[in-house]
Amino acid sequence: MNVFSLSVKNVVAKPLSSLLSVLLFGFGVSIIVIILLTSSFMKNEISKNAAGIDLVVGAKGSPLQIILASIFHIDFPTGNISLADANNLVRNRLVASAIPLSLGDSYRGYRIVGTTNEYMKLYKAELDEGEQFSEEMTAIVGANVAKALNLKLGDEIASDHGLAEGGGAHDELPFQVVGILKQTGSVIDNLIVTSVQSVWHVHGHDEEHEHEEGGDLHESILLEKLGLSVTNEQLSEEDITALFIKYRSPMAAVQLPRIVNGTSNLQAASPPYETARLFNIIGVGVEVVNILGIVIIILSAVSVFIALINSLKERKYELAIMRSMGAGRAKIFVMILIEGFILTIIGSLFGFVLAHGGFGILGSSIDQIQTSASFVVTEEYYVFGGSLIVGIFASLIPAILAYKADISETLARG
Amino acid sequence: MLSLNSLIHSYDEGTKIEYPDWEVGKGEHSVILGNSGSGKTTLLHIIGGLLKPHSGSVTIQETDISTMNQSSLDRFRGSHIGIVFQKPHLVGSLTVFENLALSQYLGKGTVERQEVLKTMERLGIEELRTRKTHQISQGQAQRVAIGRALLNRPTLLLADEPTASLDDENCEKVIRLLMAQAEAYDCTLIVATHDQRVKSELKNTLAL
Repeated sequence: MNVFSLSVKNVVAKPLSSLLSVLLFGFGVSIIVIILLTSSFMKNEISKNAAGIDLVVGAKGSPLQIILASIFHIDFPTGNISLADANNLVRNRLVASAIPLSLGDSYRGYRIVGTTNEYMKLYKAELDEGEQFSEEMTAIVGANVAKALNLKLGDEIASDHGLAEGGGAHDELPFQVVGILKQTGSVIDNLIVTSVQSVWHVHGHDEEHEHEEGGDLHESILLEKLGLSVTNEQLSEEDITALFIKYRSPMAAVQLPRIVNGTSNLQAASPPYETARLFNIIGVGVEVVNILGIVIIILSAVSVFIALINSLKERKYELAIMRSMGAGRAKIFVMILIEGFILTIIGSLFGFVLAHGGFGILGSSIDQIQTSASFVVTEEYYVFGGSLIVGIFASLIPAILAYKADISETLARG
Repeated sequence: MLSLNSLIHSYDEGTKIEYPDWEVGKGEHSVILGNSGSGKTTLLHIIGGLLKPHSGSVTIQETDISTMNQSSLDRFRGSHIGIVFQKPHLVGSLTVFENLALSQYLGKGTVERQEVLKTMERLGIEELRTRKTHQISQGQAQRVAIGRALLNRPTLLLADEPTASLDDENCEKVIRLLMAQAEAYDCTLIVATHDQRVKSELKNTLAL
């Protein structure tokens, strides 16, 4: 027998009121932890997907929309930019390298990205099987796409025009699947990647054939920084959707966006700036739910407080008698404090289990979210510490009351 | 073994109560007799170290407890004094056995199972070991309370109105039980009561 086991027995002796305190505390903690997990998971995802991209250039419009459409593939592109404009821009000495993106088609809901091999390197995506796409109507598919649509090497996919299903198919010009990517945990898992030229080909311009006699138009030229090999005709007529730019020097961060925005059709969008802006917008909602969680924790602290005070009232004779049997004030004080502690620790742990369990279920039920119950962020330790401090405060006053109780007076009345 | 010298207690509202000097020898079972409001429970609490007197001294076995500080008084009470209160007030979250063991733990710091079991046997409550306190009768609860007070082999056993709500037959039984147990544990019994029936059993009387 010791003080701790006495406290445990006192907690167990009131199962319903203890359960209520534990549940309340648990829900409060779990709300805060889930928000914490979700927002740091999102920040993680965003920085993972935007890593290595200094600037995104798209058609004039909302920079946030450009970021969402071309990096995260969740919004619609603002429009197209001409290859000639893009080429003029990347020839600037401030640009170290650039990756062209041609968006707008999809296959059964999965987006098709026309780009170069550099795009794969950006996400460190490796082939699980097969080979890289070439310029000629071949494509490789992300791990999730292959799994969800059960695609194998050699399968033919006919792209739909537009980013939603049923946008009118390009049936006559299917892509051939030549490669399947390994799981990367980034956005590329949900994409079908092909060459810029193949996307152009699908949207083929009939004029191509009419100009056959103009020989120099078909001479192939290499656009070095874009990693594209095109004909003069293509350079002057074709469009792309966006450009990922890598700066040559920090200087470029100041000058290049200004140059881009000064060009009539182009819009520069900085991933860190736009994602920070996005978080500001979401942040209000996060704040509200966070406050809700804190309110629930405070409520539960009050419930622990009331539970302890009530049980003190019922047990005041017991406690006085324990004193009369030789228990010092400190022992009674510690016993009550531990009772409050047991309730808050169990409640807090329950909250963490609930939050992580919920997060794990979320991760295993939604393909796009790759996470697990063991995803832990450092802020959680603060939440745990904070909830314990709240617990101490909730049990401190009852413990002090028990400490100060006049045993003679109590027993004389009993 | 117990002596009270010019003891004065003052209540919060300022009224003072003066107690006559009193001597109790070892093994001399005694009674503090007085009507309600005469201050007998207060005196019992002062003797038991639950309450500090305003002035005067309480000496138990050569030790003046009126000058002790709170924590050494707690320790002294745990090892030298057993108190049986008007109502048993057993600890509700513990079993009968644990209630008795609690007294040992708080008084001595350790639990000796054999000692607890022996005491239960002596009081005829060994059957109740694993019962919760709400599953036993009033009379049984009082026996548990008596056992709890005696377990640490105190030198002084104090009882506050143990017979208040009992009929003549049971009154005598309880007093006999207290006296017999006090003899068995070699301690001195002091009963505070308004019950004139107790007077015939206990010779040394302090009338308030």
